[in-house]
Amino acid sequence: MIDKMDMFSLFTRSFEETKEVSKFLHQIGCCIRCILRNLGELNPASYKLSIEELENMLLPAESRTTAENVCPCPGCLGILQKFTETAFLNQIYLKVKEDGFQFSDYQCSLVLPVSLIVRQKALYIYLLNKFGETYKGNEDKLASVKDVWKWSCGFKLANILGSRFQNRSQFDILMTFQYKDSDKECAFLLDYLPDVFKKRKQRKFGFETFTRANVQKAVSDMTYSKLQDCTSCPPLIPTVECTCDISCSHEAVFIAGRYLKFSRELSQTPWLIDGKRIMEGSVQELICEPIIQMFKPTDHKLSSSGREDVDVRMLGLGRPFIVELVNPHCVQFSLEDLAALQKRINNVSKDVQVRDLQIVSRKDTNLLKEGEIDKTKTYTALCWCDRQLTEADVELVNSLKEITLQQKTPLRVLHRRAAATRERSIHSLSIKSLLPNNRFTLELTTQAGTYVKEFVHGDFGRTYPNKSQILKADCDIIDLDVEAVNVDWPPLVEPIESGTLKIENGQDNCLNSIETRKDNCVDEKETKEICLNENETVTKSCKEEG
Amino acid sequence: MIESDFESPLPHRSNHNDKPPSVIERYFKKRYKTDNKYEDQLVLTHSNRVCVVCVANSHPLIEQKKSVTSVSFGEEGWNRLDNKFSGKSKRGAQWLDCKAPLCEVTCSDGTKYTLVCCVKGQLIEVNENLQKTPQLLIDKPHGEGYLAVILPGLKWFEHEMKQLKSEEDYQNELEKRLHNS
Repeated sequence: MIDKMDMFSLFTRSFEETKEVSKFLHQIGCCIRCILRNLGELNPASYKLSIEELENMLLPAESRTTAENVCPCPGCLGILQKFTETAFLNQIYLKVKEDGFQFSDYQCSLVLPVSLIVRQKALYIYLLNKFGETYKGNEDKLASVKDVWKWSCGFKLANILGSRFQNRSQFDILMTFQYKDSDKECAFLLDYLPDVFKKRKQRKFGFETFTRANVQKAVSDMTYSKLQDCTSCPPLIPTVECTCDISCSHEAVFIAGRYLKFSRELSQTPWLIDGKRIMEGSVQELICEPIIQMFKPTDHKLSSSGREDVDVRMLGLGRPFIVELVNPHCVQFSLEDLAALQKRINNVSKDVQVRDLQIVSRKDTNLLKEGEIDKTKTYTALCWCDRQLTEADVELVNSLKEITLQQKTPLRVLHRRAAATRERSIHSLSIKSLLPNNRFTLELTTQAGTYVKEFVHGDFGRTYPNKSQILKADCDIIDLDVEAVNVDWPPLVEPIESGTLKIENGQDNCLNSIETRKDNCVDEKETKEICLNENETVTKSCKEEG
Repeated sequence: MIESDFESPLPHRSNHNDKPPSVIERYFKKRYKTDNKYEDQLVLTHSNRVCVVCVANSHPLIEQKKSVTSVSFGEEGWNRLDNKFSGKSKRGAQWLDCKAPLCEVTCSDGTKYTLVCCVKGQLIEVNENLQKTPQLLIDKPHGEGYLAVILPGLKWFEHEMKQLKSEEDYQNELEKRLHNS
């Protein structure tokens, strides 16, 4: 056993001292992992050893844990004991399975009770008093409960989940530990720093007096002797156990593409007034419904490079858009899957078609917003004029370039937009054809944010100059089409064969990673088996490292 | 550049009437404030509650084709040009009652008329062009010669609309006047 101790790198200067420190920590109720971490061990591999193995190495035979003498550790509140056991890991497995997430690797986040900060400090002061030489200046060199949990359980949980453990992953398993006495154990801080903590007793902080940040700061500001007066050093054995809430989440996935709209009776977003639907369907619903079915997010948001009115068609290459999928449950899809999804969206309605559908990174979504500022748009408008237009009119209009407009917020949006006079540019303008009944088509390219309808009819003279004023006759707009939204993003996608794919039943696909594993956590026998296997591998790896 | 995968644009919505419905016909409802001195006014209300206040055709200004020399948005005790506000909620805008004066119009024959708000609400804008070109009031009373934009409060909107006359009631009123004279 003694030679095995060489695998550790500890603060202590001799084996005897290690034994001594271990004994003291054991006497105050510390668990074996807390003993090891408070000895200064920082090597993650060391924590892969089982509790029994560690106890064999560090504690005399009579002190070892038996089923009868376990109580929650004052250094970790049991988080490195009970909550590292296979039974708890199986609870996580059940929760992940229940939530039905699809993932290839995972990360863990632990939210620990705030009073653990006080306890850790108290434990350090205790060690400093007993073994000053060894512990002086080493406070920040101790492994945290959080890290030790991950080092102890990360790989074990990975085996159970059939997944890979990563420090950073899109899929997060969040464990929130609740400890009933946490506030009680911090209460002395309220007397010591009333100004800092009393303020927190307000609604805006959710009545939370003690937070990680303010307790951490208060504790590191206090002198060791002051702390010793206020709180028990070493920390006492907890009288209640922690409980743990487990929740899973997946980072948002972004789908980009371009949409075309061929209807003049379809709004971009659901059109509701006082909860009553004014118009059936919307671009948003037609695009998002099939995407949601496939990715199963808990929420989603469509944003696009500007928007067109209900009665305006969107033609050409379409309008760039992004759908943000919050907490998607299914994410592993191929290019073919996306091509099939695009096809499915396009089969929903003839009115809305999408193209260039692709998954993009969060970073790339900024490109859509950046493009919003300096993009231009090209329109075709069917217009009417009070009088017959002549070739001279056409010449006059076509000669105009770079018209600067002073555009007051149009009356039709004044109820929901700030009132202002905005400067906008018409970059080019030309009459394409003269039609019977005083009608003509106008093609124009404008700066983003220009209200084209108002430019044609003038909006009671509130957009100036306007078409009526240029032609010195009343003008009006009958129909409008957006021909191009001039943004180079997202990249064009060469159409590929979507083939016959299994996304039709995305649900099965989504649970694949976890369904393929045996339903082992319910069966006690099998659980034990897993446990044994785990130990075997651990011993093996220990030998290799040793 | 890849060509669009989709069919060429559909034909435009056909509309063979000689004159398409105007902006007012498409987006606004006409309501009137009548007055025993026949100084009638027109309120154009958009479906979004925005009200454009105008002079009605039956007002002596239009009826008698007056020549307007000045339009003033401020007199002793009130000034509609001093109206600073900000944001979507138009915080700080003047709240005006339906009888509050909006502007005073002076004609070349020496006559003066006070035009009022007609609806209770926030003053969003007065037509400052009328100061430079007062004749717009007569030439385009329901277009560029509008007087002001008012946004009635959500709570009072229905009430404010009820105290105005519909197009039909207004026409009846005009008939009645014809009989009486």
